[in-house]
Amino acid sequence: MTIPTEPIGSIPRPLRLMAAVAATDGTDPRLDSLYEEAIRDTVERFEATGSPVITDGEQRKYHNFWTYCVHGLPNTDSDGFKIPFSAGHTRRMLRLTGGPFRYKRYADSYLEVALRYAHKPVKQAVISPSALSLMYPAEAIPGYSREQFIEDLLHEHETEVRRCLQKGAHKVQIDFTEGRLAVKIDPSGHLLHTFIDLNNLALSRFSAEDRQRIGVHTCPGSDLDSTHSGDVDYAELLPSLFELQAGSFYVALAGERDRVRVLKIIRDHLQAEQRVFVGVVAPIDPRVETPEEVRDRIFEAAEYIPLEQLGTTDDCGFSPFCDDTSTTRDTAFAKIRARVLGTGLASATLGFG
Amino acid sequence: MASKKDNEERQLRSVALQNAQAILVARQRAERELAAERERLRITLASIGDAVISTDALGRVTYLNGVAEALTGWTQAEAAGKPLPEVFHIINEYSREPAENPALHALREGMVVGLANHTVLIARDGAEWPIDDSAAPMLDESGAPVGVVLVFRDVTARRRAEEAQARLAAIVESSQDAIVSKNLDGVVRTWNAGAERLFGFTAEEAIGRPITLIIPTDRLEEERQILSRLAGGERIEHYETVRVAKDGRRLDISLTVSPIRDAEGRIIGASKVARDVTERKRAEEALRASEQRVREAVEALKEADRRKDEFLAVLAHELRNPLAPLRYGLQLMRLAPGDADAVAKSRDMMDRQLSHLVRLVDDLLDVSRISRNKLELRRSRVLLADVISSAVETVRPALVAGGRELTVFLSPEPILLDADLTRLAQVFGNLLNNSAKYTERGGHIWLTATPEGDQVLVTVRDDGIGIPAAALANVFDIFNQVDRSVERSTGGLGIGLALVKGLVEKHGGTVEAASPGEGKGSTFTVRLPVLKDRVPSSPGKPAEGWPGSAGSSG
Repeated sequence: MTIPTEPIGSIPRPLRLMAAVAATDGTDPRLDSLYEEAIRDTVERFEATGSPVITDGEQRKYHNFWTYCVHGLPNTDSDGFKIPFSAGHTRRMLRLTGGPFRYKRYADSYLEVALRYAHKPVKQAVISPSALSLMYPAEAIPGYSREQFIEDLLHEHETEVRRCLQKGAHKVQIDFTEGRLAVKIDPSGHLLHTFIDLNNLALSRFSAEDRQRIGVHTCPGSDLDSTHSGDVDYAELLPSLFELQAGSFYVALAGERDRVRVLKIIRDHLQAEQRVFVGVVAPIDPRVETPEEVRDRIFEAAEYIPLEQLGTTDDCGFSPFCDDTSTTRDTAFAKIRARVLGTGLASATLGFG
Repeated sequence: MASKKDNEERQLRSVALQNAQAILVARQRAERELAAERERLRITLASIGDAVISTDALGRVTYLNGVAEALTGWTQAEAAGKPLPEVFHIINEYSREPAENPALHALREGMVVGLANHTVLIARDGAEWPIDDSAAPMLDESGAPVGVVLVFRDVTARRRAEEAQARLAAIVESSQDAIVSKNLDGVVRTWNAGAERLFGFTAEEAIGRPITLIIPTDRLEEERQILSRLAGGERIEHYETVRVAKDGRRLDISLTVSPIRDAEGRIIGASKVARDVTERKRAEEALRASEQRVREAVEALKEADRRKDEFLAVLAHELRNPLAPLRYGLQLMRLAPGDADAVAKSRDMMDRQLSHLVRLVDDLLDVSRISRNKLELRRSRVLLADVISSAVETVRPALVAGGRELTVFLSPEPILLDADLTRLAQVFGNLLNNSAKYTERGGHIWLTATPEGDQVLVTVRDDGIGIPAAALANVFDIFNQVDRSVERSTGGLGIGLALVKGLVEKHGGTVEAASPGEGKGSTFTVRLPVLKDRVPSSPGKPAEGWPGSAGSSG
């Protein structure tokens, strides 16, 4: 037994695929073979890192981790909110223009392909209901109330998670990067609590056993080597985060300025049945961490987190947006390898393995 | 640029906060639904009669319904979070050792577990409740245990009912009486050991067969009537009837039949308690016979007593009768001592009266001797003719005075007897006197002696008033007299025939009385053994030269 270690999800797409996607709509059937090849290669290289749990690298999530499931819906418009990143760029959300709200696709369709190539457990990331809730515009949609939208959103999210669980996902990870963003938008914390409530409403539809296979990922956002809410204090987020009724939490830590402070906050709020996977490599940092660095970060975490509740992960996906070229595939896998090796070193030292 | 960004963030905040309201509504709805579901569950669990306790996956109490609170003595608030064994403390009824907690077993094994028999719940206040329960793990969708639900009930009442039923069954089974139940179609449903013993059919042979199995064909209608009365709710007690055993024996039984009702009070059958009264019937018959004999003996004693009283009265009278003439004679002799004629008459009269008195006393003494077997015969070889002659001589004055005609037929050959001549003469004298007494003036008396094998038959027949048939059997009893009025009119104690019987029997003979009926005369037959060396002679004819022979009359 070792300290469990899992990836977050995305791996930069192959450049050939990125070029083809840029030239067409990402959903063009002519891209299928390229997607297929990208997934096969990603799975192969992922497994080569020694990572005990892999993903499909979100090779086919077009256009990003946030909107993959609604991209192409006829009742949406592209003029949704802009999410500003610290690097100065923005990412724009889709806006719902009419009801009813339905997913265009579910993430289990990606999982299905990855499982065809994988020899190791595959986890699947899905977007949180709270993130998608921002699609409903400020002005009410005639004939489709906000309440009905929330209900439909919960139903669609539940459907997606169930389908992933049923198809054998090792874990289903709910991307909740908007947690810190919520604090940034509403420092009172009211919005964050609302997001927690919404996500808990979704989680409450699952059994305790299922919830042990569901995790929540939070990070300050990672795009083009920058964040959208890195300046928000974790102390504002984490206490509420652990109120989510999930079994696993994937918390970006490597990129934090004061990791010990964050670890103490986690220690104080992590609940008995929860495991926290702390980030030990930072995708936004171009430098590849060494396994020893990773090991030492784990030692550091182990001082505050019970080992039976500790795991390691990446701070974030390596390419949440499909056109992000700031990190290469090689770097991503190198960082993953460092995470895996570092976790192994720590495990051995701490009496595991 | 900055203002545009601020505007974006403002709008985003606006959307987020508006969504927050919708999310709140969704949460409230979900909470309402959850609360409603919990309330339905609470009401359901509170409404069922069984006690319910649930725990979490670690066996800590999460819920108690009202019945569980009442039985354990713990309230929901007090018990919540407590380890189950602390709240649900159970022991074995007999060993008093802690019993394995089925809930923890169910949680551990992930399967439904029933409680061992004879488990007692120890309530918080020490009260003990015999309980019956089962525990089932609560599993989530993946089948993993998330807790356990324990359902149990107080079985005190059921236990008592079972014990009562067991006792009743034992009583029924050990009963000496046959106890049988049947349905309203008359089909046997239960059959105890007593029934097996009484009727000979085993329970296996009888159950399922019609009760007519043991009912004689001539009493089938009786069974129909019993069923009809039962259907009306009637109980039939101590009904004496007859049933037939497997071996065909008819049994006198006393039957009590009660209707059997179901829980709703509907009559669904009957129970029969049958007791063999054959022996009792026999005993009753014997008792009745015995009582009859006693009654008869008592009656006989009463009759004897009555006769004795009458006899004593007669005796007193008869003894007193001579006394008056004797007193009169003495007075006469005292008043006229010089009147020789009067004195002579008085002396004769007194002599007759004294003789009569002596005879009475002698008879009494004889009867007494005979009854006490103290009479000694002075046996010798005597001729029957001498005996008869002596007897006739004795009664002749009475016969003559009464105008009766006596005819004597004796066998011409001498008949020798080993007898006391005086006593035997007394026998025939008494018989002749008796005939004379009950024969009207001018009537006839016949004495006949006929040899018959080793015996001689001597009959004394008259054409007098006869003897009623009912009185024939008692004519020889002491103190018995067919008609006291006659006896009194003629004088005497009426013990003559008793003397006859006693004396004849002393001689080894018998005496019988016969009469064709009232007014048709009587015949007394005496049979006496004769001595072998009698002298053969011609058949009987009226004895020549006898004092009472043909033509002679007394």
